[in-house]
Amino acid sequence: MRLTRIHLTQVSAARPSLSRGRRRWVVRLVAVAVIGGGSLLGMAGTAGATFTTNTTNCAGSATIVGTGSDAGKTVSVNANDAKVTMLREGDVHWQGSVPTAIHDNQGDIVIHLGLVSVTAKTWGPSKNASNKVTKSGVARIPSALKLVPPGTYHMTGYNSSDEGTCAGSMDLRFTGSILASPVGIVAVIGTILGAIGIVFAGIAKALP
Amino acid sequence: MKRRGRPVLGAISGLIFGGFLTIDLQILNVWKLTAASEIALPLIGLAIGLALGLTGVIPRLRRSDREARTPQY
Repeated sequence: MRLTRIHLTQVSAARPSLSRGRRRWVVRLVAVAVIGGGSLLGMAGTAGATFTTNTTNCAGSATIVGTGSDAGKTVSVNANDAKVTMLREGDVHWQGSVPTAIHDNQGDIVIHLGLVSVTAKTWGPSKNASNKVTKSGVARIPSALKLVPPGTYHMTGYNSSDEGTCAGSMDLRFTGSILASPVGIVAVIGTILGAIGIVFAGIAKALP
Repeated sequence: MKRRGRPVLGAISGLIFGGFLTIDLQILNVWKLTAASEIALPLIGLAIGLALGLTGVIPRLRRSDREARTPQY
């Protein structure tokens, strides 16, 4: 009986394989993707500024007292802070002040979600005929905030008046599990399916 | 015989992968959603998926290949 030995090198030589140039090209592409992604992550690490414009010397602060699932928690935030860890349920005791009275006030607070911006609150124009220099109040955190996925969201706001403008920004951070919200669950499933699709697309198929 | 993958599937899958990965990274507090981060990762995913689909670098193991690779004595 005659034994025949087939070497792996013979098999691979018989099969059409990718050229070195092609492989190098793919490796380069992946390297560029990793470097590009890394630089973007580096860019993302910068925290938001506090006051961008403050010609009226405005000041403000708030104390968030948690209720419901956040009962017992308290968060203090100042207008100078760059970042605040938000509660999802609670009452916001806020106050704002200026050294001298300002008139015809108007402004808004906008939350930026990439290409989409959501206006959270608008006010004015209000004349401030009584020349108030302080204002305070209590606002309840909207119930929709319970559904917001965890993450850091950039918020900007301004108040313009006849005497000047007060504008600033702040990062709102919501903590929690990635699987705690429907958006997070969909995002994880979508990422896994996308990865499977990429791998499947990269599998060589025989073409006549 | 030429071997290559599925570029259209790769491009679409890469776009989906990049888009959802952007949301994942936002939720995991790795970065904030910005116009740059929202566009960059899907484009990178699209490029990787397209490249893998065009080149088909992942080898497909068939029964005949497996048998051929097994040393026979």
